[in-house]
Amino acid sequence: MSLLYLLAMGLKNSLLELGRKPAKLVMYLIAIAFLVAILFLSSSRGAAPKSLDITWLQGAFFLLVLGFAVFIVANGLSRGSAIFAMNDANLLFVSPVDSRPILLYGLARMARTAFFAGFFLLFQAPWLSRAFALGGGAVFILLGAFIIALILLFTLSLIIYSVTNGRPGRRRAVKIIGLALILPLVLHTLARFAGMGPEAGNIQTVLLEVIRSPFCLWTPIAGWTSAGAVALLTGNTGGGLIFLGLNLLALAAALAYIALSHPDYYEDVLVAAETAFALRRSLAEGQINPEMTSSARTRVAGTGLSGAGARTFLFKHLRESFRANRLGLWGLSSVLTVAGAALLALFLRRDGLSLILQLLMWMQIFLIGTGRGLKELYMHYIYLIPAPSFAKIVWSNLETVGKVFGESLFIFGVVAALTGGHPLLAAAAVVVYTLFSLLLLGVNCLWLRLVGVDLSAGVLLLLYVVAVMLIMAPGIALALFASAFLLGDLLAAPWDLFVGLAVLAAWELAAALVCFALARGVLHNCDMPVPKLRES
Amino acid sequence: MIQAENVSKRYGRLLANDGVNISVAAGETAVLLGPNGAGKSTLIKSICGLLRFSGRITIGGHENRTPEAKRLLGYVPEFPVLYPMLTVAEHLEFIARAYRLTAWAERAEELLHRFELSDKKQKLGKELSKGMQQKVSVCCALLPEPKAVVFDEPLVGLDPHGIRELKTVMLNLRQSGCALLVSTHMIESMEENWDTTYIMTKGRVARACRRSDLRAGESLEEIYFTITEAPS
Repeated sequence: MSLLYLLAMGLKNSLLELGRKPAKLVMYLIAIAFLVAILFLSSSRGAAPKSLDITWLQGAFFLLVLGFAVFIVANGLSRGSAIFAMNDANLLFVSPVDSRPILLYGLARMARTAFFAGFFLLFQAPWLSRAFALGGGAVFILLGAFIIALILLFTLSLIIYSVTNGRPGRRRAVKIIGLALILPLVLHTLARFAGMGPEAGNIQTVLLEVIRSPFCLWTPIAGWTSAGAVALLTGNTGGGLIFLGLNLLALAAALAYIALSHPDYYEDVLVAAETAFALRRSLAEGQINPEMTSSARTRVAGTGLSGAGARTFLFKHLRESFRANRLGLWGLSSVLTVAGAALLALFLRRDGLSLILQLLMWMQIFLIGTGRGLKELYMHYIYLIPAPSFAKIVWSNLETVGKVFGESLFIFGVVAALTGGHPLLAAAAVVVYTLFSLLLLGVNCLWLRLVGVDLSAGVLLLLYVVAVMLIMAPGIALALFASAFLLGDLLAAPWDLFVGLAVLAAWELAAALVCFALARGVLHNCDMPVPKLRES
Repeated sequence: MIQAENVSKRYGRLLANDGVNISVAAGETAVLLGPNGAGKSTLIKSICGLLRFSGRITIGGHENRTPEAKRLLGYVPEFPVLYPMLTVAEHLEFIARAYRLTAWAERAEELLHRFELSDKKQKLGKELSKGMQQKVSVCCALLPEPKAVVFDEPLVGLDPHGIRELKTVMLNLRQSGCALLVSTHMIESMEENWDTTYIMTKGRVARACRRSDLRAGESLEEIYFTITEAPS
């Protein structure tokens, strides 16, 4: 009863909080309205002509679940899953309540976490409708399958931690088992590609065959989830229930194992709860760098900094980046971006370059705030150092621009090679993409200067996106006008696109300089932002 | 040296500072006391230029946002915020380079030795305990030899040796003519070493008390409770 009370009160207080925070309420209402609109439009549009094989959806869903599986299992090997919050650990674990119902309470919390992790799936309805002629209900099937898979993975993570904690031999064994589960699919994929002919389109055919193969379908959790969801979407209810049933069976077995053989799991979940709590406390104290709470070992080879005055920020950021990552400005996200762009280029072929540029520019709007330059605003040093505000802002953000430039060389080089695009077009895309990062940094500073707060609040982020769109709109219009009307008759493809990109780049540079100029003195006119904490 | 005149700061509907006036002269230690939520940290952050405010704040006669004022000011925040991927030595080098300090290496060594950090120079920020981080934070604030230092709960998280050293450092700073503004809840830790105390409640300075105002046998703690527990 007490656990039900906790869950109910948590829900009630979350709802009451919305009344006290109108901005949050408005954000939720906008998200719900947006969701209802796209689901309604997707359903009312009727069956669209199918343009893609649904096997591609199965493959994408497989990769999504596999990515979560790798992440959660790796967590299981290091610190378990954060099934419980620190207040649960402090209050529930010492209470005279049986540990089994407390585990069920933890599962209810996990279901909520899984729902929010998969929430973005609900927004995929228009794309699913266009590409696979699926109705609005398809996203709910995908979300349901995703939630079951995540709860199973969290539970397995708890078991893995409790079984391997302090036992290096068992940890190695779990890693070997994990690799063994995916190895047949990897070997099968490699074998199929090795035997592939040179004809165009073969890559897609081989990929489709791999996704349809039993090696993929029967890969635990990721294979079962994707195969089950797609079977249900295509009307194969029996197949769907069998595959998703396997996940449910595995979950039941995992829970039975914990309940019967290991009811004293408190110690096993405590490390994860403490780690999550330390991260939250660190954030509350102004430490926004995730590296602070990372347990990964860092090798200190070269030491020392360069520069003087505001320039020191750039050299400090370079030192930090190269120490955090052997590839320096390159990280996992860079590798994934290049790989993702290359994969897209395989499908998009001739139109690839401009479409990938558009997609990456959209992503950049949301990712630009993850650079060290903007994180610097959450620490006091940049405000106290006796140098001009403008110089400090510019030098502390240059590393981000360099990173974007380095990444874009690879991205558009690879895309041009795969799509047969002209090298000059790739070079123009690099310039447009890099200058867009400069513009976004300028908009960020101007935003901080005018609004005086950071962008972590949802409604503000929405307004920020609208502001970026408005600033870019004249540039895009000019670029389209120049490429289509002024020069369209004079220049053949791809030179019309080249002219459009050049005009867009010039607009971005001009707009960025205006933003930076208007944002002068930003550090004197804003409150040092305080990181926002998510509810646990 | 530190002058705050009619400083007000509002967070939405909450008035965190309401027309606050304080001043700390060179060679003087001023203590800022008050219950949680009284507005002490807000005032300190406003003085250090981390928050917008209405009113006027000067450091050594310069408006607090100017580079001249920043050159005179040191700040030890309530929670030490270090760069996880920089070593202890690099934190000091970063400050030295950013402030364009000359001949700073010897002073850095001296500070590190004083706070028992000499053997931790190559440790990364993320590898330090909270207490060690606090010591590095103090070293960073003192390296540019500021003429005014603002401490926000400086003793929290320090071990007994660190507390003793920091108190000695504060005493030395005061004797050398530095202005110190210290916000703390640990009243007894400042009993011997203060010149003026500002007791804040509800965003205002409820009482400014000079050491010479104390009656014989009267302690800072007694004054604090008289003010903060008085019916409003």
